[in-house]
This record gives sequence, structure tokens and C-alpha cells, in this order.
Amino acid sequence: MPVNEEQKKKIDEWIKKAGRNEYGDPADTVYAGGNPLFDERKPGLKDRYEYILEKYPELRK
Amino acid sequence: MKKTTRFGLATLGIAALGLSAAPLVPVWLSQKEYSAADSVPTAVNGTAAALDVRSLPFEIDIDLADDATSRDVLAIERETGLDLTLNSVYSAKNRLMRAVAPNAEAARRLVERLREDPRVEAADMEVLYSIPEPWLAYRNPVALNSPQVLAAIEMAREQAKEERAQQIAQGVTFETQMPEGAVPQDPTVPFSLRAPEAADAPIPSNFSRTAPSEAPSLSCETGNCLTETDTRPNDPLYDQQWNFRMIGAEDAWKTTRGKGVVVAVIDTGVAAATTKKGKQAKDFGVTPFVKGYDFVNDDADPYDDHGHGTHVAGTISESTNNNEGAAGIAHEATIMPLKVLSAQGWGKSADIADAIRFAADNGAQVINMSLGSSQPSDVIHKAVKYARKKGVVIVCAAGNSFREGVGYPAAFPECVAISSVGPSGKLATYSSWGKEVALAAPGGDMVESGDPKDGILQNTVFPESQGGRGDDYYAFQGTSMASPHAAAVAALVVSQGVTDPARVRDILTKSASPQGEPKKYGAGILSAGNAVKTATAEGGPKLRHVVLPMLVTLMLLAGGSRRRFGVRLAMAAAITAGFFGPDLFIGWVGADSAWNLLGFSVLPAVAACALLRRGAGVKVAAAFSLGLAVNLFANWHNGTLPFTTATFGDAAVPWTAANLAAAFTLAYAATWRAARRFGLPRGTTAD
Repeated sequence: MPVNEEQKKKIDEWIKKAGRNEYGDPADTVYAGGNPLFDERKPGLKDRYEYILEKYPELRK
Repeated sequence: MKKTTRFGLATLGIAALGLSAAPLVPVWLSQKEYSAADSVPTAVNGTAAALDVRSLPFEIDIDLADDATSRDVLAIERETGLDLTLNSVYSAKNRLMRAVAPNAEAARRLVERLREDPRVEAADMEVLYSIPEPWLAYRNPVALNSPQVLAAIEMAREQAKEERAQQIAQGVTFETQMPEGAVPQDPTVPFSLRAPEAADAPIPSNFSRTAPSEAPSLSCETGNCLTETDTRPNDPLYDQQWNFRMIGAEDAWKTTRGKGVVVAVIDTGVAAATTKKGKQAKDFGVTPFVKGYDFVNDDADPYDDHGHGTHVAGTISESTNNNEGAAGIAHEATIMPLKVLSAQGWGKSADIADAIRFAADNGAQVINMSLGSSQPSDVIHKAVKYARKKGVVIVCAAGNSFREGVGYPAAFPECVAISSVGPSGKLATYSSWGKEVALAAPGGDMVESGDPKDGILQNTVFPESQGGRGDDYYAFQGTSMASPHAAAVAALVVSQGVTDPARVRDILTKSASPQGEPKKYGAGILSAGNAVKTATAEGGPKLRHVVLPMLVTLMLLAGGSRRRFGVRLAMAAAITAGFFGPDLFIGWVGADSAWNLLGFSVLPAVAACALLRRGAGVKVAAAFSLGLAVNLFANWHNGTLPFTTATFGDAAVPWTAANLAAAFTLAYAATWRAARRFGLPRGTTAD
């Protein structure tokens, strides 16, 4: 399901309020390769907002 | 020469020296420093927007000073009200502790207070991710703001207290020593050929297991039989490894394959052996391993449940020339597997810091970290500094952000940050770049082409549950794949006797193939062949190290009266001290220490001349100045002047030249003064 502008705004506000990193994870989370959107094992790149909503589906509401 | 003239010349010389230091100042000021986490404390997981994160308990990482005692721990607990627990069983020596603060504000206040405490080396917020296994409630007490989880936190605290009480009852103290150091696998054990059935294992459709017919066939009954002249391994997939040709791996193999060097892979683990957790990856049968640790699950089996770490380890030391799969760059190096990232590819800073210290304490000479975060961690930085001080080369992936901005830990100045290039030699689409990039290495680029042949091919265990085919050969792409290329070449360099991390970095960068655009490629693209050649030249005995003792011996044996033998002996000692002093000094302070700026300057000669200006001492001072001048010239000529080349680059040229000129001038002046005082051989004049 595509992420609409309102949801994106809501996610960005939540990130700011909660002090998360840009991927919605705790600020000092460390990732294999440094980026959770880019799976080095597969081609392509996940959408940042989709990634956040997959982990926090309640933000869709 | 009149006294006023001499005074004027000396003043001019001092002014010139001062001016020559001017270009160093901006470089020095721009040295990357970050202030320890001004980051806002954050909570974990949760019901997201509906959650008031500030009301949650927060975990804190506390890295105590190495000389902190159990009494200090108790005192800190009493002063702060925190309950400190070790991060892992390996934290006892390094005093890496965790504690839970009741809420965000308290955590922030406590972290600030702890950072001021002299018993504390570093303190940081630790925020954890959620995996809903019950045991994680113990290891990761910060979790959902639900009554169940809060109850679990209480339970975990009680459990931790009980464990601590049991430890104390068993006589465990914080002075507990680390387990016995890791011992590399016996390097004399020959490679063994793979079992025949392994050859029938499925392979990806994109790759051929059969070696191309034009490839020379090596009949190796005992495994690794690469020779100085025939360095092409018989691994069937070797032809697909374009990245090995890009860095000139075969050139390097004529000299070394990294035998005896221990490389720690801090990652998702490595499928190094068949254990309860899984099977050994098929092309690691003869790869040497040393004991590692799983910091995620707190056990001694760092098996890879993701596939990332095994792939990374494969680039470094996959079993090579064994008629199976693909090759590794430093395939005689020993891997130390350290698991800090979960099956989902995430990790936490305390575990990473713990793993870095584990590696440094257990004999690793190179660390590869193909992981990162946009946020710096003071606790990780302290661990990096600790490892670097112990002589460990730390190589890190720059990150896959598709934009400018190198992640951490790669951006720490102690790390060698690696960006990634594809088969064309151009910066990979996904690669992060920035001024911290030291050099680039092949990491594959399949983003645009979608062709696995443009990726980095190695054996790994990619779980079927995550879209893989289990134990097989996979083309991955990323700076994670580029970093182990540089770590492997660092291992090759170390195997040639160059072990100082600053010198290893210097060799990697100055031997790289220049590519322009330093922010993207650093010094250029990694070159294994050039790096090993340079390391061999620098690590081995040098002509000047032979010539100087010969001159000293001649000085002692030939000419002069017996009465002045003591003076000649002192002069011989002085010229030797002047010549070798700076090299001994660097061994003491490290190649990237700022003190080298003085150690490799004319200052020691000036001091010698000032102290020994009377009587026969002036001869000794002249000899010392001459030895120092020759050392500066030799190091400058060979491009091996430490600190200046490693840290300041071209900005140090005026400083080096000025000091070199001053050292020779001083040597001449002291000789002239001695000649005036003691006379010269017949037929020469002092002026």
C-alpha cells in the first residue's frame, strides 16, 4: 500500500518527537552495511517510509 | 663570522621553522572530533506515536576505566542508584557495564554525571531493538511500555541481582582475567581437498562451477600449491571474481597470502564450523579460525544466522585452491568470528564495543567492521581507540546511504573508511562518500544492471527463510563487501612485518590506484599487488640500516690516537642515536602520534648542541645532528616519514624540509665549531 503525504508527515513528526534515527529505529542502532533500506544480499532499495511502517504498523492509523 | 651575524641567522632559521609549521595548523584543527553524543535519549519499539517515550526506562552503557575496581563499581552504584551489570562474560576485564535508568530525563542526567566521573571512560545511552523472545527481556530490559514487559523488566532486574549474588558467592570479582588468549590454528596443517559429494551441491544458475578450459589446471594433491610464478588458484568460480583482478590479488600472492595474521570479522557471525546452530559453509573447510564469541546470544558459538558475516569472511579468507567454489584474498590469514548483529542484521553499540575489545585482547591484528550507523557512539569510539592503541588495524565500510556522509564507526579518525566501486571502477550507486573515505575497493554494483556478475561472489549461508538458498555461492553488493577487500590486503601487509596501524593505512593509501575525487575514492582504488610490494620494501632491512653501522665501525677502528678513543666511541654512539632515535621514538608513541612532530624535528639536535657545546662534547653533538639529518633525509626520500605523511600529507612538506635543512646546518655548524676548537687535518680550513 503506497504511503500518502499525510502519513509521511506523521512519521517524520514521530521520528522527531521520539528522537529516532531516519529509519525510525533507536538513534544508535547499527546496521549491517550501514543502511537498513539496502539489503546487500538483494538488488533494489526499500522505501524509507515503507520500512518504518512495516516495523510500526500502528503509524498507519 | 660575527656574533651578531650568527644571532641573526639563528633568528631567521627559527622564524623559517615556525613558518613551515603554519600549513599544519588548519589540518590539525580540522582533525575529526565529535562531541560525545548530544543525542536525545530514545526509547525502544513500541506503540509508536501513541507512546510517550520519555516515560520509559532507558539503558545506559558505562565503560569504566580499566583500573576501576569492584569497590569503584559499588561506589558508583551507591552514588547513582544504578544497578551495574557486565555487558557480557568478556566485559569483566574491560569493565563495560550496563544499567537501567528509570526514565529518559534521569538517564540523560546520569550519563552527563558519569561522563564527568574520572572512574568512567565513556558513558552513552543504549537503545535496543525488539525481538519478542522472552529471554530478550532480560538482556534488553528496555522494551514496550506494557505491564507485561515492565513486569519482565522487574523480573530481569531481580534475575540479574541473583546472578550477581551467585557470582560473588562463587568468588567472581571484577578483576577476573580474560580467558586464555586465542591461539591461531596450526598453520602447518595442509589444505585438504573437498569431499567429492560437495562438488554436486547446487549452484546458482548465474555461475558456472566448471573452471574455464583456458584456465591452467593445477594438480594439487595437498591443497594449497600456489607458487611464486603460478598464483592462479583452481577454485572453479575464481574466473567470476573480477574484483580479485581489479586489485591485483595474484601479484600479491607471489609474495604472501597473509599466513599467521588474525583478522576479526565483527558482523553477523561466520558459519565457521558445524555446530548445534548450523553447518559449516561449504567453502570454509580449510580456512583457519580462532575462537570467537556470539555477543548477541552470549555464547561461544558465533554462528551466522544471516549470511552477511560469512560472505565478508569469505572475501578475506575463503578456502582457496581447493577445487571448490571461490577464492579469498588473504586465504592463509586466520579469521576470528565475532557476532554482534542479529539474524535481522541489527546490533547494539555495547556489543560492538565489547567485540572490538575482545578482538584487541585476543590477538587480532586487523578488524573488519562491515556495519554502521549515522550516529556516533562514545563507547564504540573508546573501544576503537583502545584497539588502535594495541596496534590493531581497523577497517570499516563507509555505508550504503547513496549520498555524501560516511557512517560510524568508519568516520572515526582511527578507522580506515572504505567506499565501494563496481566492475567499471566507478563509485557504486549505493556507496556513501565523504572526506573520511581513505580509499575505495570493489564492492559490486548490481543496482542498475541487476546482473549478479557485477556483484561480489563468495560462499555464504543465506537462510531460506530470508529469501536465500542456504549454503551456496551468492553475489552481494555493498560497502560491506568492499571493506573486507581492504581488511584482507591489510592482513597481507601486516604479514610482511609492517604492523603499526598508521603505517598500514599509509601503505594502503599510497599504493592505491589514483582515481581523482578524494571524497569518493579517497587515495584511489585498493591495490593488493602494490601494497604488498611497498610493505615488503618497508618491512625488510634497508640499505641505510646496514651502511650506518658500517660507518660507525670504521669510525671506531680507523684513525685517531688511542687517547681519544673515548671521544670517538661517544661520537659513534651519538651518530647512531641520532639516526635510530626517531625510529625508536615512533615505536614508543605510535606512528600517528602528534609527538612525532617533535621526534622527527631538529629539536633533539638543538638540545644536544646546547647541552654539549663545551669541550669535546661539541663533536658528539655534531655527530648526533648528522645522524638525525641523515635519518630525516632517508625517511623523507623514501616517503616513510611517519605522522607527517600519515596525518598531514603534503601540508607537512615545508615542515619536513625546514627541519631537514636545519639538521644539516646544525651538524655543519657544530663540526665547524669543533674544528675551530680542536683543529683540522692539515690542508683544510674551518672557514
